[in-house]
Parts: sequence; C-alpha cells; structure tokens
Amino acid sequence: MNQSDVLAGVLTPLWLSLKVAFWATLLSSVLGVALGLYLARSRLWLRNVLDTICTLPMVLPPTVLGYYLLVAFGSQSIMGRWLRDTLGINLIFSLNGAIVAAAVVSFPLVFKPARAAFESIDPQLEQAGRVLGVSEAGILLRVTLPLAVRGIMAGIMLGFVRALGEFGATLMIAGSIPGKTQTLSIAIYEAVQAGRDDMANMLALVISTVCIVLLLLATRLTPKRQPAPGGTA
Amino acid sequence: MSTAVADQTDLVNWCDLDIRKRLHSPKRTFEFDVQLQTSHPRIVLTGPSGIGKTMVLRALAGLIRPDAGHIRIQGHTLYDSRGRVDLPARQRRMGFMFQNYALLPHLTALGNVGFGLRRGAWGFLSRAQKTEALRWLDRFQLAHAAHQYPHTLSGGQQQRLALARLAILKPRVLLLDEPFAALDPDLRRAMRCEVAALLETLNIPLLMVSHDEEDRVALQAQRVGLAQVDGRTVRVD
Repeated sequence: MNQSDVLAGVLTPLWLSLKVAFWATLLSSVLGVALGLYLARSRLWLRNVLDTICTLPMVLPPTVLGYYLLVAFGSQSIMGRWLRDTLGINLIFSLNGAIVAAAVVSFPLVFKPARAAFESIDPQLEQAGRVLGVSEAGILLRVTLPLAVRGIMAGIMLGFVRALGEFGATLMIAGSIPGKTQTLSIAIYEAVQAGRDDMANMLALVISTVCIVLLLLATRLTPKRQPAPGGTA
Repeated sequence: MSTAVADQTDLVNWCDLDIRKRLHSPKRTFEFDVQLQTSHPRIVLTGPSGIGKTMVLRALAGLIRPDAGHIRIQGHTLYDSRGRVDLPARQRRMGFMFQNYALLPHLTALGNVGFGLRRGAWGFLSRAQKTEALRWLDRFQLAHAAHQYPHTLSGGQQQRLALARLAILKPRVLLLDEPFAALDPDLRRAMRCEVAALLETLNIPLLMVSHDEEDRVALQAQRVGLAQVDGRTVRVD
C-alpha cells in the first residue's frame, strides 16, 4: 500500500469525524444551553427527573443508546416514518444518524456545565439589570450569557471531543460505510480487524493529537475563580 | 443642605404605600402590614433586623410583589392590587441600590454606568451617551477608573459607581439598603455628603434603610420605625 492510500485512508474518516462532531456539537449546544437555562430557573419538581434522564447518555453503554436510537428512529417506528415521509430524513446507516448518535452522547457534557454555570450566577445581578430598566432579552444577552460563557464554552469543548470519539452508538445506528459513515474511531476498529497496523497507528495518532489540542483549549476556557461581584463591602 | 430640603416642595405626598404580604416558611409565618404616607423628602426606615425593612425597598423596586395594597410614588401608581396594576421592575424607574451594589463583574466602570441606557440597534452606546456616562463617573471621582473592572475598585469607589449607575437614569426616588454599614467612619461621612449632594442635583426623595441614627441626623431625614406586634410587622412611629 502506498503513501497516498494511507493519506486518503486517514483524511476521509478524519473529515467525516470532524463533520459529524461539528453538527452534533451544534445540535447538543443549542439544546443543552437552552435546557440548562430552563432547569437552572425551573422550580418544577420534575426538573430532577429531567436532569437524570438527560445525564443517562453519560453512564449508559453506548450500544444501549444505539439500540434505543434504532428503536426510536428505525424505519418501523412512528418517529422514523415521520422523519422519512415529511422531512425526507433517514437516520439509519446515514451520516445524519451518526450526527444524532454523537449529539446524544455529547449532550450531557454540554448541558451539565451549562446548568451549573447558570446556577452559579448571583440572581441579584439579573435583578439589578431589571431595576436599571433592561428588558428580559437584554438581561439574557448582556448579563446571564456573558457571566456563564466560560462554563458553557468549556462544556461545548468537552462535548465536541466526546462527539469526535463516539464509537458504539454510531456503529449501531449508522454502521461502518467507508466514505459515508465510517468515522475515525470506527476506521481504527476496522483497520485493526483487517490487520492493517500502519493504518491503525496513523489513525490513532491523528485522533489523539486532535483530542489533546482540544482538551488543552477546554482547560484554558474552564472558569477561573472570579472575584466576588460585590467586592470588599 | 437644609435649603435643599426646604426647596423640595413639589414632593407633597410623594410616597403612598400600603404593603401587605404574608410569607410562609416551615418554621414560621411572616406577616407584613405597613402603611406609609409622607411628604418628607427623606425617610429612614429603622427596626430590628429580619423584620422586612429590605422588603419595603424590594416591593418598591418591583422585585417582590405584595399580596395586597398599593404603591404610589410621585403620583405614579406602581402597584395596586385593586386596580390590578403591577408595573415590571424595568418600567418603575426606582433608583434601588443593592446592599452589595450588584455591579456587573464582566463590565468596566464605564460599562456599568452605561448599562441602563437605551442602546441602539447594534447594542452600543452612542457618543453622547458615552460622554454622559463619563460625566457621571467624573462627578463621582471615578473618571480615572472608567476602564477598570469593579473588583479592582475599593469599597467606597464601588459604592460611588453603583450610585452613578442609578443617577444617570434620573430615577424617581433613591432607595438605599443600609448603604453605609460596611464603610469605615471617614468614608461613611464622605458618602453621606455624596448622597445628599446627589439628591439635591436630581431633586428626588430618598427612602433608606439604616440602623444608624447618625445617618438620619446627617441627612435630616424623617424616622419611620417598623416593629413586630402580635407576629406582624407594622409601622410603630
């Protein structure tokens, strides 16, 4: 096998992985930040139940998640049929399926820190905004989000890395179609199975490097201890 | 200062409060039933701690809603349970200063002072607004600190910044919650003068919570005492 084959064998799954991780993170960020904000404010007794359900992807075996996704979105299911017939989206053995799987596993990593970041904000700062005549939308954009942004960004970074490395659930729902759904982590598995060690080494090196860089970035964005807003008095 | 107090004759019955509220906690029931009508431009609320003095200010600012009664300030009805009026906090124009100032830690002094000014489409302050903000910073001897963040300011500077942030919006009344309790004696005297001068400039009344008789004397304010009678917080003098 010549070098350009190895290069293509690395770059195609790397590109797929990045694409899947990008869209999955976007999806889980929007939903995770919104839910984090909602649960941080909610007084609903159901909120802890919701929190637990949303944390499940962190502890369940990825194969179980993949199986749930298959059951929920398979061509036999109501949801799967609706997606196919009205939106023309098929999740099974497709890139969209890989994106949904990666979004589900990265969701708790985005949602948890976002909720914690919102909960750590002193409610008086938002009240001060109201007293100063600022609208609720203005307070969200100019007080709440800026004060929570570091925690949110750190969570998004972690979610992205998790989505990048996603294996089990993706394999269950999207399979391993080279050039279509075969992401880096799945390509490594296939390479090892096929006894192509040079390929496996390259792939492992690439994904390790990408993850290390992203984690370093995430560490830099993790909230430092902020001085108390009230200061000394 | 005494002339200023005498000048404020347009403040006839500026304050007309009837606040009734009942709070339940597992341990006790807290009942609040306070009426206050006054033309005196400077009022100091006193009473034992935990009795709900801060609640009066918060009800005026629109941060808590009474169960019944009314709140009228300078002829504007902010809350009326019978007329079903309950203006949101942002429409009340109450100059409420939080006990810990609640300065925004992610904004500079300039950003904090300009925070309540109405923004343009892009969310930026206009040149005129910036000039106005700098003028108020200068008025409170903070011009040099315009680009500093609140946590780098001293306690006295933070308090002046909190006052400037309210003053720029021309509030209808200044509401202070034990503003001088955390300051050392020298600073306390300086800040009393600062507050008195500000009231004169804006020509607005003051409602302040304080335990310190010196505050009342220095600001020539009327004393309004709250106390618990039969488990209810009521006005006693």
